[in-house]
Amino acid sequence: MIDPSNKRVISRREWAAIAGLITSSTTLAAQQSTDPSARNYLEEQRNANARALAELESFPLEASDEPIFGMVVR
Amino acid sequence: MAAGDLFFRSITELNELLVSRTLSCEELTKAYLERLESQGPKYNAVATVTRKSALESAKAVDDDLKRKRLRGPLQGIPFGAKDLLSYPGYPTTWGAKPYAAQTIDVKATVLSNLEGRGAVLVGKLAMVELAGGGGYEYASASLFGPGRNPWSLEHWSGGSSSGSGSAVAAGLVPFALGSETWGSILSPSAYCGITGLRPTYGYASRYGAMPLSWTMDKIGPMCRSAVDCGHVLQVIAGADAKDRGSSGKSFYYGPEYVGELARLRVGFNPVDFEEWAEPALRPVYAAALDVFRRLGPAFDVTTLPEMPYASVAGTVIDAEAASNFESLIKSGQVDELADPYQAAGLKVALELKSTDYLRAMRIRGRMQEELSPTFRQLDILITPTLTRTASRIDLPIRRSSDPGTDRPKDRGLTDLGALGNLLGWPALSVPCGFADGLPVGIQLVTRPFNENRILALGAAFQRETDWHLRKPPSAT
Repeated sequence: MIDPSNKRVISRREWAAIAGLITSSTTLAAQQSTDPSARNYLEEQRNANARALAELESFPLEASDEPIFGMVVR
Repeated sequence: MAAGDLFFRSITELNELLVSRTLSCEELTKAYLERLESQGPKYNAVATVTRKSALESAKAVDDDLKRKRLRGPLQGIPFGAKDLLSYPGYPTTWGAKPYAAQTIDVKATVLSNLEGRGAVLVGKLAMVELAGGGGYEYASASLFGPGRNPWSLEHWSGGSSSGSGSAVAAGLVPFALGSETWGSILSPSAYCGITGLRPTYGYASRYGAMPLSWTMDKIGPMCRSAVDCGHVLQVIAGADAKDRGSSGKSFYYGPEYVGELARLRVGFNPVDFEEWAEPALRPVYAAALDVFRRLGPAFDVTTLPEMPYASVAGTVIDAEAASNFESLIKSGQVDELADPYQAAGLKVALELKSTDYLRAMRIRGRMQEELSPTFRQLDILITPTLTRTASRIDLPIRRSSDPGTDRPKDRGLTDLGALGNLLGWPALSVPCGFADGLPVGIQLVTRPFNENRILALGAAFQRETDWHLRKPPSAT
């Protein structure tokens, strides 16, 4: 997705900084891959979503309750 | 004038120096560019320094000033923009590794508006990856590393507008633009001790901004003072046919039209300040509330009805973010994000059902129906911006919803962050003191399109206090 024409306005120093970021960036996943007690992030997020959805489902809606589409501000 | 003082001047003070030709825009711009380049890395605050285009703009401003073509208080003022706003010729990384080399040949409307009034973009500022969509756990959830707080480099600057918060606090730019879907302007403003304004939904165009949640994203100013926020909002607000969420309204900064502050009715709840806020913050808030009371408004105790505010906000953002980033998630590139908890959050968000989203949007509609009348009785709501100071960057980000957190029974107005974002209400965070050496912020919320009210009360507070004038020790 690099537009070569942009090299006219981005200095060599700026490109070097970006390239450095790309190569030096190590994800936490990579850092934690050697951790024997690695967490199951998907499970944690699914559980969090399930708690939120359960709270929404317990909220009593009526037939007249329409979604907020297009009218965020009143 | 000492150089250090220059970097902490207000927008109007800097503009006076330029209009009087005490200083040229080119000189001022060069000074800020050098400061961004030399000090920005200390805070992980900078994505890209836009040196070439900034110097071209500065020369054009000097030419205008020479010919007495005056364009208002932002003319000649350097500024930074969160790196989710696109600007032709420079990368727009969205703070995320999968987009590190992305360029978008579009100038965000808010940046066009600012340039039209002579403001000079000097840098694009670091941010939490994808503005935090999916939920993140560590301050390091960014292509640029953890945002470091100018008041303590071992603490977080807040997010997701991390670089905007620390750059303004450290005097690297006189003001910056941030964005908020849920907390991303107000949180870094509070943590960094600056003044941040989340405008009414639809006031400032999002054209050219990374979409996270179409129904909740807002662009707003992060400045040193409420007055500066007013000047910036006046320029960035306005109709834009290229943003489907645009309200079509413009904003005129006129705090004088608010009338006497003594006629305002302010809603608050003591439980927010005395129980939800951590103990170290309570005396700070007690003193701040005393200042607000001395300004004359009537204070009424109020509370929010029991509704699932956070769950609705979380579900709406998850569903809209999953749709926005569907191809990133399905391609597996989402695993390149720095924070695996966030990557997992986006994957799981894609599993949400349409009925989950619609249920959340229906409850949101009910909230609008039941809570919009709040501002018939009250003009402004006041709460802590956050109930704690910044987390250490090496520890998980603490949230009041964390398991094990001692939660008072009375909810008070603690859900105002989620609610205000769901209903598009504007909010201003002003610094109001320090706890354990870190800044504390207090937020003022009002009805849509009534920003002048909170700006007037915020400015009055800042005339009585000097918290917004303090300089962090790391800013040399």
